[in-house]
Amino acid sequence: MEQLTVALLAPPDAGLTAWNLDAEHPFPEINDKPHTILFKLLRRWKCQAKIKLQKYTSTYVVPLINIQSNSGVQVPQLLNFDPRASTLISSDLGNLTELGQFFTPLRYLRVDSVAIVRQPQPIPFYVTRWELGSQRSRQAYFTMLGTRLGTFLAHLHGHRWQQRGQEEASHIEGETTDLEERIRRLHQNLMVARDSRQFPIDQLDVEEAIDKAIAVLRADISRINHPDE
Amino acid sequence: MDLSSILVDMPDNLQDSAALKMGVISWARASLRGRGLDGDMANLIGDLEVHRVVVDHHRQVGLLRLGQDSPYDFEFYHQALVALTESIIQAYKKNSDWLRKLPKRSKVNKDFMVEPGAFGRIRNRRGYSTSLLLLERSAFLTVGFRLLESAFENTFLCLDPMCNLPDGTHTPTQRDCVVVQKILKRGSWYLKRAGSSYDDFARKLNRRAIKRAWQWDGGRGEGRPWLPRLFSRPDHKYGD
Repeated sequence: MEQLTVALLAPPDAGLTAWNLDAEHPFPEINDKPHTILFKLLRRWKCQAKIKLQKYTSTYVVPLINIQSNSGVQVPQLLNFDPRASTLISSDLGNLTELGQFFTPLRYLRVDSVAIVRQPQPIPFYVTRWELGSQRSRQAYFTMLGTRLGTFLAHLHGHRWQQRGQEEASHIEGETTDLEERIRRLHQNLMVARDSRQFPIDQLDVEEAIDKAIAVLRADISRINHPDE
Repeated sequence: MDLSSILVDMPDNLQDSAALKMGVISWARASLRGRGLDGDMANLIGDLEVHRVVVDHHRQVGLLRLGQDSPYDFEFYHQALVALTESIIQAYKKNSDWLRKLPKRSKVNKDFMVEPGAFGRIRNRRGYSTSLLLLERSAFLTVGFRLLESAFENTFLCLDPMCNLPDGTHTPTQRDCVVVQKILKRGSWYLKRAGSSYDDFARKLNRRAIKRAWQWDGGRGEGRPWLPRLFSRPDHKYGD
């Protein structure tokens, strides 16, 4: 595992090859222990990666790392970045659970890749345990999550680099194409639903209304076509 | 941003929640253009609204039709959704430059009823390229889109025996399923309130409809839509 980690983290121009930390010392002339060297190298590469990323993306990415300290929300640390190889390596946040998993019992998931199989999802074990706890402690837990997240997002969206990003960054082709594709799919679904009368949609059952809603969504994708800007 | 981008500690004992770790991932899809209020926040609220439909419906029919043997505690999910969403909105409003720096007494903030002559002045007030009303309308569109898209592309729990589901499962193509209809109704409410243009959205009647949740499927009081709370004044009362 150490071999793999070191090989992955070695910058391409460093000239280092992978080594086994338990078997051999990478630099016998240095008195530091191998793990200390690894940490020092990691620190140095982090600095290099930040500089590279800053150059690559103009100026407004790195402050993201500092926002987490104000809100109690962590983000993956940047470890290495290679624009030539289109590779970005970041740290792991540890053993945490997706918040979406808490709500999986309210959904059915696609289980099989060939056929769509829907079946009730089991209730997560922590939910069944929490039901035994007091309502007050449960409320405090979710309030704490929401407060941290709201603070984090507000700082993130209000940061100078974000606002500069609005003004300076050019049209992001991939994102817009993706959204256009999603809107096109929604349009098709709405029309099929209207034709087959699967959904008695009283507000969207007229073709003109659907077309209008889709046109407005398309115009909103990039705000470029908005009449007020 | 959606719920799968947020990582949290799920402890066995909630009493120790003060020292919990929390993280946000999936920055590969983050946009440098910074669609904040009408991007991350609107998508997040849209996701929460979708789950809220499922919970609301089962809470409403629970006593009448579901019976005592249902393994799901919908009151519990309701508490979680409400606490999570309200605290996100409150914390965001408290810390957001976009929302906090607006002057308290202005034509845009007073019940959000903008008079026609005030558009240009409000839009240029803080040097931002977009006005708050423009962002709000964009957020309405995003939430509406999210709800409609979810109705077709995801599947939801439906234990309502009125749906007559053959095997207890629920698909998006299920005709007359109340959960799906409610998701569609709420999604179309957001799109309808967004209007076909910025002027439609800023119209006095539309602002009043948003404030009082006219034609909203979820009822009054606690059941009102969540997104307008994000843009309301701090002292604005929703209980009327």
